[in-house]
Formats: sequence, C-alpha cells, structure tokens
Amino acid sequence: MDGPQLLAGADEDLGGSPLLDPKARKGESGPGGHVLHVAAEMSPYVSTGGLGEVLGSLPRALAARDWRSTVLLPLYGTLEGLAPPARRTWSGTVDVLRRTYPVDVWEGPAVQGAHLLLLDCPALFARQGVYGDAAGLFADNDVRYAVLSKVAVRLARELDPPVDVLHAHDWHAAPAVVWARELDPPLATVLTIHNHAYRGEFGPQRLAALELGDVEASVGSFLERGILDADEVTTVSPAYAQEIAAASGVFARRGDAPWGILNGLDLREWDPRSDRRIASCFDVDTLPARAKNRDALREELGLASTDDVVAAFQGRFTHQKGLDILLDAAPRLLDRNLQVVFHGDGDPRLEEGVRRLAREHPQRVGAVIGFDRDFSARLFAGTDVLLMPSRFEPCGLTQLQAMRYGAIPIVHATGGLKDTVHPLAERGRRSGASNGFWLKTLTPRALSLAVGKALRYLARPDAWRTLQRNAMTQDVSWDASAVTYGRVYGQARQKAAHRARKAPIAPVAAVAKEVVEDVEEIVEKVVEPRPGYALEGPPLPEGYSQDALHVTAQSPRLLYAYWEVPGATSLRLWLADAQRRREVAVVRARGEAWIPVEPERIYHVVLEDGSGEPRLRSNLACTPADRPLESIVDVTALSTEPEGEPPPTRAPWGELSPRDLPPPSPGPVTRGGPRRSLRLGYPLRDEDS
Amino acid sequence: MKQSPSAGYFCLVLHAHLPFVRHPEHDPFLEEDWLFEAMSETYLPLLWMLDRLHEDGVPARLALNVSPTLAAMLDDALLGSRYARRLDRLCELSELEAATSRNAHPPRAVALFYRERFAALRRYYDDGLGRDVLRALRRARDRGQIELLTCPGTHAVLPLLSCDHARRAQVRVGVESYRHCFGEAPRGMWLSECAYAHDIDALLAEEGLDYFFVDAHGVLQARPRPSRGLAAPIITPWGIAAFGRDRESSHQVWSADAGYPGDPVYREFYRDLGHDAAYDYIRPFLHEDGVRRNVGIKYHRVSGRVDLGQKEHYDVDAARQRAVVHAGNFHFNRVEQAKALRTEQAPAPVVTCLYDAELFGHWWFEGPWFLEAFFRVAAQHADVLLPVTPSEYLQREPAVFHARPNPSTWGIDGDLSMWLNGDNAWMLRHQHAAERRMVTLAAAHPHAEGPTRRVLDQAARELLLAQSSDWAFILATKSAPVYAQRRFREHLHRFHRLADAIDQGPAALQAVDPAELQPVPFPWLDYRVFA
Repeated sequence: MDGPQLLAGADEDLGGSPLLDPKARKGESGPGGHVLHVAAEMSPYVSTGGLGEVLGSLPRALAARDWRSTVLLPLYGTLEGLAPPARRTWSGTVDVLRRTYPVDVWEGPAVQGAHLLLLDCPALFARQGVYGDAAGLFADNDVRYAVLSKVAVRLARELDPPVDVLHAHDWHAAPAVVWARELDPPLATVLTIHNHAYRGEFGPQRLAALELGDVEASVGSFLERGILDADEVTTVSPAYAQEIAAASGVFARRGDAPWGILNGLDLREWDPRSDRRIASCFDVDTLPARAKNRDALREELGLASTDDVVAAFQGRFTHQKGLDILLDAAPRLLDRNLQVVFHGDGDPRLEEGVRRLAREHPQRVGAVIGFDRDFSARLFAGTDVLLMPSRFEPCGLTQLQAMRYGAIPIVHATGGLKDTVHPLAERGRRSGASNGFWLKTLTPRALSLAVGKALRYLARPDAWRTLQRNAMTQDVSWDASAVTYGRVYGQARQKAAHRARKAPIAPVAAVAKEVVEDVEEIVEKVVEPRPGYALEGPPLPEGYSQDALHVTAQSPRLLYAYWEVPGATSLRLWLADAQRRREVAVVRARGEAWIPVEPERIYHVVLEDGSGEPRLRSNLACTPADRPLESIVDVTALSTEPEGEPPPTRAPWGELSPRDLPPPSPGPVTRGGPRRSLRLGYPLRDEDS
Repeated sequence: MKQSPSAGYFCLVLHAHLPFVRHPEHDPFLEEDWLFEAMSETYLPLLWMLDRLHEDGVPARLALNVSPTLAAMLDDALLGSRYARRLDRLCELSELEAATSRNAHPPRAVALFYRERFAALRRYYDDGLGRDVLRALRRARDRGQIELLTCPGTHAVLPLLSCDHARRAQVRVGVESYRHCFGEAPRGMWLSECAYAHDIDALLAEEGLDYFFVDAHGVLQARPRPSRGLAAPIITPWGIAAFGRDRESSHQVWSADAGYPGDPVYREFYRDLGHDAAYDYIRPFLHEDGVRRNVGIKYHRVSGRVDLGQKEHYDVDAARQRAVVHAGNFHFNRVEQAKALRTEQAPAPVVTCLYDAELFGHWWFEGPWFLEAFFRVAAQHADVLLPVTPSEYLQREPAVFHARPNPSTWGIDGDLSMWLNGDNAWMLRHQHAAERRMVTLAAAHPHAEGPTRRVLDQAARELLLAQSSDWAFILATKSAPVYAQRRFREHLHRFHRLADAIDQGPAALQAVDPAELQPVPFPWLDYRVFA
C-alpha cells in the first residue's frame, strides 16, 4: 500500500491549476490532467491477468508525468478485506433495463499512485466471484458493467478536480466511452484493449436494450461498440495492435488502428540486484553469481544436479499459452540435455499432462501447480531459458520479468512477444540488441528446433552472456509508455474539442456505396400468389395506402423483403449492413424481393426515391448461422426385419404387463456402426401432401 | 438432496396442436376431421396410456403442450358432440366389418380388433373422460404424470410477425389460455415450430416463463458455443432456459426411412378402408361430397418398400410386440447416449426429445404402445436414466451456461423456409398490415367498453386466427391449400371490416352483425394484449 505520498504531491501540483482548464491546453503531449480509469480489475485487490497488473502500476507511472489518476473499481464481494471506506464520494441510482440500482461510491485508500473509488452496488457486485462463480459466468455481466460505466460517466462530471480524460479498460468499461459522447461539454475518451479475445458479446438487440444500440453500428459486443466511439483506442503492444486491427472490421470503420503501447514492469519488485526472494542477487556485471540460483531451483524441485540446461514455462495452463504444444514437444526436448520446470495452473487436462510428465521424469521435470509470485522470482533467476509458445499474447509480462533476471526467452513471434523479444539475425549472426529466440511457426517441431538452437548458443558462454546482458538491460519500465499514454490523452482531448465544434458526428463516418453487378440474381416479383392452388374467399386489399418496408431473414443466406410506397413511381432498393450497402434493384411502388445475403449478419433495406433521398428504412433482420453440419446427420438404419420373430403376446388389447417387457436390449444401436445421411425435417408430414 | 441418476435424465416433450377449425354453419365439416382423427388415434390413446400406467403404479413423466387453439376445441361442446357422433359411425362401420370379415379379407383378427377398439374408445370418451379432455389432462397433471405447457395463442411463428407488440399478444394469449384451461400460470412455452429469433426470450421472460425449446442448432450454434452441446439447457440473455432438441432420438422416431415407424410390421398409414372398400358399401361413411377419404380402419402393414397394392395384412399382436422391442431399444440407446454425455464435473446430462404428439398414434399407430412400454422399462431403471419434466430438470440441475440461441426452427433446413417461401410469402404483407392496424387501434382505445370493446376484441380474435402458422404450412405442403388460404383471407377480411367500424364510429359499430361477434375461441380475450 504505497503511493499516497506520490499522489499527494501530484494533488498539490494539479489542484486548482489554471492548466486544468481544457481550453488552456494543447493536445499534443500536454502538461497533464485528471484521468478517470474505469476497470473491472486492479492489482493487488483483484487481478486475473494483464488488466489488473496494468491498473496496479500504470497510475504511478502516469503520476510521474503529471497525470493524476482516479480508478473506479467495483466493490466485489471478494474485496471485503478492503476496509469499508469511510468517505462517500457519490450516491445515487442508475437505471438499466428498466430496473433501478442504488449505488454508492466510496473513496478507497490511495494506492499505487491513484485515488481508488469503489463502486458499491451489492445487488450486482457483492458476490464471491469477479465475472462468475463455480456455476459459470454471471448471467447479468452486461448489466453489472453497464452500471459501472453509467456511474463512471456521471462521476466524470462530478469529481473534483474535473476529469479531463475518461480511460476505459477492456470491454467492461467500454460502454462508458459510448455514453460519454453525449456529455456537453465533451469529454475525451480513451479505450484500452488488454485482451481482444474477451469482448463482452451480448448481441445487438441486447446492446440496443442497454441503450448502446445504434442501428447503423449493429455490433454485438461492448468492446466493439466502444472501439467505434472512443476518441482514441490503444492496446498493449504494437504488434498486437496490428493483429487485432487486421482481424476486426471495427477498426476499418473507425478509420484507424489502435495505438500499441507496451506494458511496463514495476522495477522495484522485479530487480535481481535486490530481490530477497532469490538465493543469490546479481546484476549484469556479476552474472556468474546467477548460477547459485539455478542450483537452488534444482534443489527446491528435486531435480538432478547435472550440467543440463534448465528451461521454464510459466503461465496459465490454457490453449492460448500453447502449453499443449510444449507438452507435445516434451519427448523431443527431453532427448536433449535439458531439464524443464512448469509453473502455473488452469485447464485440468493440461495440469494432468504436466503432472504425468513430472512423474515420468522426476529428475528432469519439475512442476509447481498453482501460482506463487515468490517462486516466479526464483524460477526466473534460476532458469536458463523461458519457453513461451503462446498462440497469441497481447503484451505478456512473464518474458519481461524473466529477462530482467537474465533468462533468455524462446517465444512464438506474436503480439507483445514480437515487440519485446528480439531474435538473433539470420545465419546466427548476433545483432546488437538480440535477447532471445523466435518460433515463426508454432509447432512442436519448431519449438524443439528453437530450443536446439538456443542450446548450441549456450555452449558459447560469451555469446550467451551478451544475450543475457541485452535482456537484462532492456527498458521494460513504464517510463516510455507513460509518455506515450500522455500523448494519447492529448490526442483524445483534441478530438473531443473537435467533436464539440462539429457535432453531431455521424456514428459511422463513411458508408461505402458498393453497387453490385449481380442485380439480375435478385428475383423481383409481382405480389400475387403463385398459381398452384385456387384462390377462394374474400379478396384482400391490393395495397394499404401506407408506407411499408419490411425485411425478414428466411434462412442464413436469404432475406425476404416487401414494400409499399403509395404514389412512388420508381424506387431504388438498397441492402445495407453496418458497414456497407449495395443496390439491389430498381423497383416499383409495391413489390417483394428475395435477396441473397450472408449468415450471422444484421441487415436492413432502404428505399430511395428518384432523387437519391432515402424514403424508407426497414426493420433489422439478423440472419442465423449458416446451415450447420448438424442439418445433415448420420444415423444407423435400424434393422427392418430382425431374425427370429418373437412370439406375439396374447394380452388383451390395450394392456401391456411389465412381465411382457424384455429388459433393455442392445438391439439395433444408433451410436456408431454403419451410417447413412438423413435430412432434418418433417418426413412424415411431407408424405401427407 | 436428490440423487442424480447414474447416466442422466430423459425429458420427453410432446406438442399437441391443431389449428382452430370449427364450423357450426356446416354439419359435418370436412376439416373438423383433423381433430376427430387426432382424438381417436392420439389424444385419447395417450390419456388411456396415462390412466393405465397410473393404475399399475408405474411412474410416467413427460411434458405436454396443448396449444390454445386445440384446448379451445377440446373444450367445445359442439365439437365434442360431433366427435361422439363420429365415434358412433366408426363403431357402426367396424361392427359391419367384423360381421362380414373372413379369415382372408378383411383379416378377421384385425376387424375384431377395430370393433373392440372403437367400442372401447366410445366408452372411454363418455364414461372415462365425461367428454372433458381438459379435465383429464388436469388430472394427469395433478397425479404428477405430465407437466403441461402452453404455446403462442394461435400457434403463430413469432419471428414472422411484424413487431414485438404482435409477438407479445401471441405470447400473452398463450399464457392466458393456459390459466383458463388449467387454472395456474404455465412454466414453459413451446415456441410454435420451435421458431426462435433474437430476443423472443425477452417476451417470454416478461410473462414469467422459465423455459422454452429450440432445435438442436439453436443451441449448438448459440453464441458463445455451449461447452456441453445439447447435454444441458442454456440460459438465454433474458435469463430463461432454452432446451435443445436431441437429434439422435429425433431421427429414431421421426424418420420414416430409418426410424421405428418404418418397421414393416407396423400399420400402414396410407392404405385405408375408405379407399379399399366397394364404393357403395363405404359411401354412407364418407362425407357428403362422396369423395373417398381415409376412414381410420386400416388392414395392412408397412411390409417394406412395396406398392400400396402389395402390402401385407396387419398383425396387431406382432406390431404391439415390436413396439415393446423398440421401446427397449430406445431406452437402451438413451442410456448409452446419456452415459456418453456424462462428465464428472458437470451436472447429469438431459436428453431432450421433442415430438409432435400426433406422431404417436396418428402417423405412427403403435406410438402410444411404444411410449407406454418405454415408461415401463424406464421405471425399472430410474436409477440409471430418470424421466423428468423440464421444470424438474432445472430444479435438480440448474443450467449454468449463458448463451444467445441461434435463430432457428425445427422445420426443413432448420430455418423459416417452410413458412416463408414462394407459395406463402404473399401472406406476410397482409398479415403485417393488419398487425400494425390492430396495434394502432389498441393504442388509440386504451379503455374501450361496450360495443367498441366487443368489436375490438373480435378484431383481435380474427387477427390472431389469421396468424396461425398452419395456413402458411398447408400452402407450402399443398395438403389443403384452398381451405388454408380461404381461412387466412376470411379472417383478415373480417378484421378490416371490424376495424373500419371502429374508425367510422358508433353508427357503424351498431351496424356490425352480432353473428360476427361470436366470442369463439377465447371468450376471455382482451384486445389490449396488443397494447
């Protein structure tokens, strides 16, 4: 619990300063201001990964750059250890989905260079779990974090000193940047994506119900909604920024890619010169002293004391971290003079895989299941090599920590690993800043080859020591990143100011007009029943003298639209989704059309009159997922005439005695065996027609 | 604490529905036969089965949806008396058949079987049920044999309605009908044709419903993808449970090719005395138009893939015995299935089997015997596979996976193409125009009384009847297209005439023919369901 002093200093510098007036500031690299961070996690109170770690250390780095930070964090049931805060900063009610939630905001202890505000809404957060419990994710996570965001936007206008930038972290806080756009005067907003794999997917309709729905946007997740509206979007490494910009269409709609700003480390905690958790402290000039740590590690884990090289894996045992690849590669690796240590937990199957390996090779494989921060330090100080075969890695802190302790990372070249681990140049020549090894393809074989390469390098002590020096001296502090965040805040302020002048801004900046050439594939028909059955009974009106335009998703790839525009002579029918639109046909005042589309998209159609003015816009239609594999399934044909007919029971009609029943018999079995295809549907009804 | 079965749970859901067909102006009326056939072949045999199981102390647990339109017909005295008369005629015909039968043709054992059966049905309808099928259903519910469900008021395909007001009206009428018929609030809803579109669950949640059903791909392709597939219901964004239809058991029963009903020993549906008998002989038992149609006495069995003329004679005992064998096989396979789905950490799986009730008995004559035999087997192995109702399952094993179901139906290809295609898409604009008009009227007259109220109620009734999924379905299958499209037109035509009267004012309201204001079905209907 350090940091209040820092903050007090910042207070004095910033409070009441004329520089706090946004009008007096210039956007680029401004002199600081007040940032309201909105997040679901903050280390050390609640942290499940990078998000919490960053919130635990970024504010202090920002404070050093004259940015005062206030963090708004939900008061989870798991945070009961935090003393009931004495001072109520705010109290009120928040309406979400027709329900009213009373909310108190308590001022928490100032930690890590930030004011901590705790959002107290027992109905939503007083639970023994952050996002879920043993029964699974909480059903109302959308409501929970919508409340967090709503309170954040209201606080942003009421805090003193006034908030200059609302900084939302991950999907949990993304709605805040959407709602903050409605503020007048405008408030600068920044959204940081700590992990793009978690987006808060609730569907467009749900977002609409939560007042996040913009029919033009038609996105289904909190995060994407926030990406569209934030003044600036950042993520935690430049390479990851490129990866997600390429993978997600929303950045194309924004018109820019996110900033990639590397996370930093708290260098006071991760310092091999003074770390009391390790057996022998060392620095770049006393690297031989490091060897004692390796011996201690072996001893701690009961590994054989040999000349073998020690390699380590630390992280959650998940698919993302590529532990399965490492386990697949283990037989090849253990053929070499290598010892491997695993540290972490997660997927029970992977945990079992690690345990089995340790049982089979007790002298050469160590396993510490669970997460022990102190052991991490001992591991990094003792291991020669760190293995990180992650499938994706937004930033990654493990490699930064390990490198500080002279462990050389072998990583899959993805995301933040690509930005922080610099491989040897081609043909084994050393480059000036090399500090590790890359796998360009993620396979057990590639991993084994990379380890082999590292082992060959290790055999040359001078070369290895150079790598270690490079690794240990790389700047992994928050300093550079805090400067960049300052720039981002400045840019966001500029944009907000610009918004004020230009309002209202279209939610989707540009709609590409793409005219398709396959208009003839559209079937336009006169609205009449197809012949095939007689028309009897009273006639229905030809038209209803009212504008109507309606669209229905008949199937994953077909829409049905009908329209009526009394008095119109010629209309252009457009099909639109959130990103673009295309012309379907020139149509008459009344008609219908079948329009080919794509699965799992949200469409609407628009009718324009001759002058190109939109005349009518339809409802939204959401196409289902494409015809699934499930629609064609395999079943085994039942035998039709079993051999040896059983004698008929002679019971009177309508009575079946339990005695007549055979025990459940294997009989014809529908699992496995010969298969045939069969379509779903109404086979029996069809035959009736 | 209740013990979980070692393999898992089995949840059978039957959906009983017929469109509202009641024509007091014609006697007899051809399409009323739909109800009478289903009564004789499905509804009464199922109740019969439940009675027998109850008498033998054999537990049966299943969910049964009785659609509001069907419930209204089952509760209708006119239709009840017409049905009794129909049974009389069948008793007469089967007597005649038994008297004239020889060993060869018609097969004497089968003729005697029909004579016995129709006489027993006739007695059961009058004496066993007191002609009150709804009371019998309540009784079975109170005995704990069935959990009753409801469905949208006139079985409209909700995704095809124009707006939430129209959808909400269907849901509310379904719930209200259930209250009137069964005296309590329903817990679950059968979505017509299992048709789900995003946020339809919101309307169900508004009415306090706990669960509904979707086809397999509604759950398997939900977002996020449910980790346990169909083994457990999912919780939708609006907080209610969605059970996914099990595929394997569907095919085992539904499929005419690979399923049980295609067994050569079972009764052949399409070979009927109405077509086989000498015309002069059968003429008195046909409708007035004298067209040969099925009369419900069938002497042949499926026999394999041969022409109708080549079918062999039916053997009742062999068929019943086969139904018992198939029930054992069905049970065995469900146990195997549940075992395969069982994992140590997760709650015990449920195999959710959804069927049209009319499959059992009407299409697959031996179906009720099959179900009875199944429950008898299941009772002996309840520690392995426990039959439960949906509510019971949710109570025992709360659903935990939150996901948004994929828009889906249980029709061909799993989408809306059966109810929206080139044969019936023309209906949509007319139906939607009426829905918009009704919603506007309901908003404009929030407190109508007297003649205005009666006319508004009737307008709502006509619109609801036009919204039945059955008309579009029949136009697509062309099984009775003339009748279906006429019904659709007539309801909308009357709707607009009534709406015009509202718009024109008191004089026009007074001029409405009282014959047009018969409060049938749903005499309790309040037009404000559209508000």
